[in-house]
Amino acid sequence: MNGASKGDDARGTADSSGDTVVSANSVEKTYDSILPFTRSVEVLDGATLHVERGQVVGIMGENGSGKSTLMGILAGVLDHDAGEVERAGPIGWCPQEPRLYDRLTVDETFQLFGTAYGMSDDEIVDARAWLTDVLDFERFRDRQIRHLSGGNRQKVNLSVALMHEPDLLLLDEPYTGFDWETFLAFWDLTEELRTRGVGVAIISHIINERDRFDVVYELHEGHLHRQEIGDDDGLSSEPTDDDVACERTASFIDEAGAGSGQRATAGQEESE
Amino acid sequence: MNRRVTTAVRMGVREFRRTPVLLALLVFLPAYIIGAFVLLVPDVDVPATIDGTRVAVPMTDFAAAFMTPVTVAILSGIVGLFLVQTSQAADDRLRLAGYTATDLVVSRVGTLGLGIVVVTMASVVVAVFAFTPESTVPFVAATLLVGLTYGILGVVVGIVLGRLGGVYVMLFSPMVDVLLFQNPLATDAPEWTKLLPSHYATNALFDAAFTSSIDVWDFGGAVAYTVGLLVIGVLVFYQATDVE
Repeated sequence: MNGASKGDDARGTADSSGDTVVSANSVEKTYDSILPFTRSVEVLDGATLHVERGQVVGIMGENGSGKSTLMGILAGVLDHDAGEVERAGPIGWCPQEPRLYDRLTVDETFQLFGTAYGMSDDEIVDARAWLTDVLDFERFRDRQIRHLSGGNRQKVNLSVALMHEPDLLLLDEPYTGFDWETFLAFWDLTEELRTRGVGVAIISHIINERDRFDVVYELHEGHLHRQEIGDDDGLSSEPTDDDVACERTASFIDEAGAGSGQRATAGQEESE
Repeated sequence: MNRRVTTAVRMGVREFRRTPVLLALLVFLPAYIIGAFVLLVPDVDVPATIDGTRVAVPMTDFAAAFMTPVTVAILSGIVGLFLVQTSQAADDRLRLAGYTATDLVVSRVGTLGLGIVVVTMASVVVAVFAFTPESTVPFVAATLLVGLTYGILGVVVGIVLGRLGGVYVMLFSPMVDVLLFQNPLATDAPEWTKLLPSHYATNALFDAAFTSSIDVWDFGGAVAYTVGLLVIGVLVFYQATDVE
């Protein structure tokens, strides 16, 4: 499937392996401007990434490196200039800025997006009960989105992505504004989704959370560099399958390894 | 209409209902613009070009008839602008969630249409307090066509420009188009002004206001212009909310 062309199915077609819920191969994206004397910005240059069922993947990179652009392309809401993107099964997309209707209540938001997902009224009620309980915002159900705090708005944002129990979850800094309890509840939920076989890709700035991921990709200068957490063989600065070397990857891996959580630390201790 | 369309229209109407500033404008502006002009103008006859003929009409009647399309054009443009700017960011997410392009376009056109009907009714009610159109139904229909034309323009402008720029354009355009170039008091309007959005609709409106005849060509031209703009609006909207 050539991602550069229009008309790709957002729900995608199953990958040949049957375990991959999204794969991006050699994706390129440049933001051009029609205005004179303005420069084009090359964001992605041959980015390659795969997310398997039951896998939690972290995407990291400095500000402006193109993480949200990559997520938009994986979700199918942004065009890409070259490369291929294949998706299998329903997608849940949680953008960084909550894209919700400000003057609808929480209940109405569930109703609208549940209808969009093709859910019955009963299924919508069940999903709403599940998510408002897990993320603890049941008491705000009749409040308009614009009157919610940033953290509660983010809970609704996340819930909209989760309510139809997709096969692939694309989360762009999903826990921005969460309090500690909700942050922990989010990771409990992620673990639950992992066991259900949902593939989860999360953009994160929290390097200390990297032990929660199965795989971490670092996005730097348009290239993605893959690192399997806890797998020393994965700790490599060698070019990934986008065939592009990146010196910064080595330092990233070193830093990440030094500041990482239990799983990566255990791996390093064993190697030492 | 399928379940997705009815749900989206229902939610769109609720969003409008919860925008008090917009609702206040819909009530206040027709009363202010049309009412103020009717009260301020002198009680004299003025020469106006109606259906190609120079006739004398009472200034108060003329003010009521003339300010109705101006008001409707401004308010409909703002409604279209508001509609697209409050929903555009989430509309592509709704598309990704399962709404087809047709579902979403029909929903938004339906919501826009309801808004324009409200604007038209509010303006016509104020206008008929001041004068009785010769042909009421065509007068309302022509007013509605002005509203649809500018409502769709508001959607297109709302997608292309930001909020501030869009508001300026949607305030400025009806002033130039309706108030200056479609003014029956003016003579020898340049030929190119026939290309402006409200040309045919305002001609039909003035005919309906002051004559008992109906100019089919003006109505036909207004409908064709509206349909043409609708096609452009749908294409722009589709492009703006497109997902793979």
